[in-house]
Amino acid sequence: MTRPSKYGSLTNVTNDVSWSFEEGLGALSHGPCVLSTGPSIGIGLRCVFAYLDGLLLSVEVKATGQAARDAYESKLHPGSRSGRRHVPLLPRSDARLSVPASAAGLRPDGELWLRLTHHSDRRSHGSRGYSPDDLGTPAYVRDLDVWWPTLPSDGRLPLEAGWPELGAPMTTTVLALENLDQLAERVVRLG
Amino acid sequence: MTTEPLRPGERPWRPWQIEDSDQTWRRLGAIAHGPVLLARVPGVAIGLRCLFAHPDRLTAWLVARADAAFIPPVLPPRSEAEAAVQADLHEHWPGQLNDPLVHATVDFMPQRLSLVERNDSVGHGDGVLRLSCAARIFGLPTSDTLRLEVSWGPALPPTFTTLQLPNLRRTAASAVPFLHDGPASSVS
Repeated sequence: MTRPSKYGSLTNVTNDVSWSFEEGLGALSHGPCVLSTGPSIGIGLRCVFAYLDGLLLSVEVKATGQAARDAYESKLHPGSRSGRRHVPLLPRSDARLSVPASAAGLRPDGELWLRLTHHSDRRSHGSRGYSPDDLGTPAYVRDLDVWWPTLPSDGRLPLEAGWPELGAPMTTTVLALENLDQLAERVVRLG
Repeated sequence: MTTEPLRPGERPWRPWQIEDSDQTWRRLGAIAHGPVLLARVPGVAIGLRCLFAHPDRLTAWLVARADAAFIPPVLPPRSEAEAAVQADLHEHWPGQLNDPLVHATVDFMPQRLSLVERNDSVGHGDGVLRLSCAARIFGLPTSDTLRLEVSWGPALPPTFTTLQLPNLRRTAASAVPFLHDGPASSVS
């Protein structure tokens, strides 16, 4: 599946920011919501925390059955450290998260989207219902913590998420964020 | 492994091997409590980013920060007996020997939390350990309160925090499903 043309100029948000969320507890700004679902795959937002200089978005990806196998194998490629080769090899793909650049004040027309990179990535791949007599159902779990280095002035953040190659279409959800005021008092420093 | 949720009073022997029930597996946790600083002493701090409620358990998203000088050193075992104890301990509680200790008390039953599902970052040149992990807590307290105990080596003695979780069962039941069965996806 090819991405729409609006992603042709898609830019990665780089990691050259200070991870202020590592040093403190942010204000809870948004709760759980579904971002994209497909057959046996789901992408959900667990929560959003606000800091003085940005937002921490916690995203969960889960898949079962063939979608779980595909999610796992789509990250493998010849010469990978594991040395595993799968024939036919799936095209490399990944869960995608994007925010319109206009949300960062980079473009007024909102045509350019910024792909979010994750700060932390915890994943596991195994099976559910395993027993000595049954291999169970393949299961894939992924927790992504994403940093968005801007606070939206109107408290709204359009977030696009999906994994089209595995059946989760790119879907835009506009997050209505709360608790963005008085962050200097709400954010608790650890250090 | 078992797919049955734990009954009140049951304590998992190897908690990281406990398989979530199907209803918990398919849902995003509902937020039962927001950020709380659990303990802070010079050089060490542990906080709760938030507490998620699932139909039959909780998830505590914990973060910790320690200056290198305050991280307890891991000393080599001084005897074969001590080595055997450490090996047994590691079999049931994998992870770093000098991890923080976190216990949650559900209905008067304390359970040590497994910090296996975690993301660590050490340093950036500033000699600081930063830990972030999602720790599972089995069962839902009927008292709508949860007591957390954290400690970390000699620097941080046991420190207790009691969270009030009003309407916890209603919150847990509101957890949003986001994974549905379907035919196997095809890849072009």
